[in-house]
Amino acid sequence: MKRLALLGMPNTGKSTFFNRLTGAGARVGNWPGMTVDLLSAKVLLGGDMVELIDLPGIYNLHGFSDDEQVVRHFFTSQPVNGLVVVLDTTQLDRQLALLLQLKTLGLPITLMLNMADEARQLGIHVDQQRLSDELGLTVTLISAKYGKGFQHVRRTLENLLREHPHLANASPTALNQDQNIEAELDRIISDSVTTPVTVPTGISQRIDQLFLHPWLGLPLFFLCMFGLFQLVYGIGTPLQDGMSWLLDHVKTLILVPALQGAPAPLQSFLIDGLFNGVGTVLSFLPIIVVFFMVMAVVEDSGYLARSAWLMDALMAKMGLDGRSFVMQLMGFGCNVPALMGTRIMRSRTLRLLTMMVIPFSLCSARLQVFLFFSGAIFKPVAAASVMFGLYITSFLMAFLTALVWRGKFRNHEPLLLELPPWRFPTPRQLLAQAWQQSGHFIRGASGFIVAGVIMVWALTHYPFNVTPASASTLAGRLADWMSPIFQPLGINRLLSVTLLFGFVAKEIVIGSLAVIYGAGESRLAGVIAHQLDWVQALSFMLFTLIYTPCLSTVAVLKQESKSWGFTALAVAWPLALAWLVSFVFYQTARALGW
Amino acid sequence: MCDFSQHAIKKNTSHLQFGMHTLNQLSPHQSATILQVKAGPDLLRRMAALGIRPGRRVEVIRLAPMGGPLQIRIGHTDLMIRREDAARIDIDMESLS
Repeated sequence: MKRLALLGMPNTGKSTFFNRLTGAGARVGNWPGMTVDLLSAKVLLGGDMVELIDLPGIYNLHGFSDDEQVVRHFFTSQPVNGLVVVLDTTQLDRQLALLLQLKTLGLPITLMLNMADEARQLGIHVDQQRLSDELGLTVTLISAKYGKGFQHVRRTLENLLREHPHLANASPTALNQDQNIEAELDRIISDSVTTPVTVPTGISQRIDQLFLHPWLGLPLFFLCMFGLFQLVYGIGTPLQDGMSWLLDHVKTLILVPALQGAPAPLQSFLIDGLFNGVGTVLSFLPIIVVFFMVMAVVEDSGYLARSAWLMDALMAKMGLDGRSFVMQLMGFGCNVPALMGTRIMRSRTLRLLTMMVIPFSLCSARLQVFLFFSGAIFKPVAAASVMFGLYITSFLMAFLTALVWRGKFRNHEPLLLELPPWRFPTPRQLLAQAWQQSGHFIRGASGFIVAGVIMVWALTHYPFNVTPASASTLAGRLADWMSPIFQPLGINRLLSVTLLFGFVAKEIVIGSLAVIYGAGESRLAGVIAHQLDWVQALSFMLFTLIYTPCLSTVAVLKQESKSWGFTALAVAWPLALAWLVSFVFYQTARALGW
Repeated sequence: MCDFSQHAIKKNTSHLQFGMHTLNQLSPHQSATILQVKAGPDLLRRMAALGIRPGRRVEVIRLAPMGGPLQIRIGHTDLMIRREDAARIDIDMESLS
């Protein structure tokens, strides 16, 4: 198949161009040896199906950032028919350097000058014909965001493919050497681009004056984050509840009657195993859609890059940056989209460290468990302090984790970020984000999640002739075997089976407790209060807070890191920490005679 | 240590018209021409790609609170750069405005 690679610097609207050209058909492809996902799509151009690959944005072909290495790796391993280079017209004076480097690859190139409308407003004039002659390639002026110039784009690409019908490899020497292209760059720019001497004070600068204000900036940032959080989860959580309601009805009204004749173990497998697994995947979809639509606004507007500027003084000490902080905060709603959101960080080590930290954010599913337990065990005033203490613990564990692991995940990339002008994405861009991310989640994580739910189902339901989750099931025997581990934490055998359920999803902890204690959910609070003292309950809550948030988190950790080693570490470290914290708490409390 | 010496240089700016001056010593709204960038090959390449190279004019827009990074402008590009990285960029004080 014919293949075109799309290249450009970060923040040039390259992805918008890609989405505009390919419609909704884009999917994340698997590429051998790649640590990041590459988006690719098939487009019909001149009667041929052509694969278009969206390579990560790079500043320099020879740089050593993770993305720059990915692009070089791509060129050494994949032949292409040609390159489509997207540059920001308003920054042509420096971005053209990348094009000159790419020319040394010896591949056919066509140049798209994006944001042509914005450049015109700034008084920048490009002599298209002159530039095209100087560079020896076709130049097309476009606005990817508003879809201007796309009839030319298709024609240009079709011409390029007609002239170069065969796949070709990049010249291998070009990837090693660096050439002094600055003189050539300056000559071409002064010949074909006219830029006004002073940049007019635009609306963008005025917005900066407010949002980056020396002492208003940070309070405004926190206010905005609070607002965003309310927006994402204010819309997402009811949708998530609606999805569970729908799934419940499908189960009770369709699935259960349909399976009436089937043998009991099969019924149990299909309903409590398979359907619950699929349901777990689906229940995350609404929140992922809303999250990524809102995050698309935050990212494309340029506020996310500015959050790095605002928070750097605080976050740098922990080896993180402001963007990590935004994702950590979003994790307090749900860890899954927050982990996926770390993709905006282009340094792999920074991303991995942020992904270690996010699972400690006390998400809304864990909140349900804590509200139930603290309500059952403590008086209202004490319950409030317990909740507050758990939030503090959540932050402490995150900071502790960052401090412990920042040495292993040391970020080598300098914090040299572009602060793009304030821009606002179109609804089309938001929908494209939501569509791509939910598809990515379903393809990447659903298999793992369904398999995990079925595994826990087997543990708690086998053998089939006994009460589920009782002492004679596999889970019950596992709990017996693990009791020396959990006894010193004051977590009894029944509660440790609950922790196994909690590994799947914290939403089912209370429900599973009701089954295990043989009490309805309405009577459960009384039973719990009767069976556990407050030290045991708090120890259980601490463990629940710190250990693996849920199976979906693990699936996404794997999907995003593409490393089993990292995933194992990101599960083992919180488990060890959870055990240690609960142990110290429980033993200290008991030693003090509480 | 480092902070003291930088402070000393900054204090004497009005008297000294020679000696090394670096980007981190500029105040907001001051601009100057870049003389040279003292950095390893990686950082040098990244800086060049973002427009930080000798001969270019750079303006400090504002400083982040609590010793955070600088916001600088080169041509049409606004960048954030940490103070320690800005200290690697020598500027021509003659061109200060």
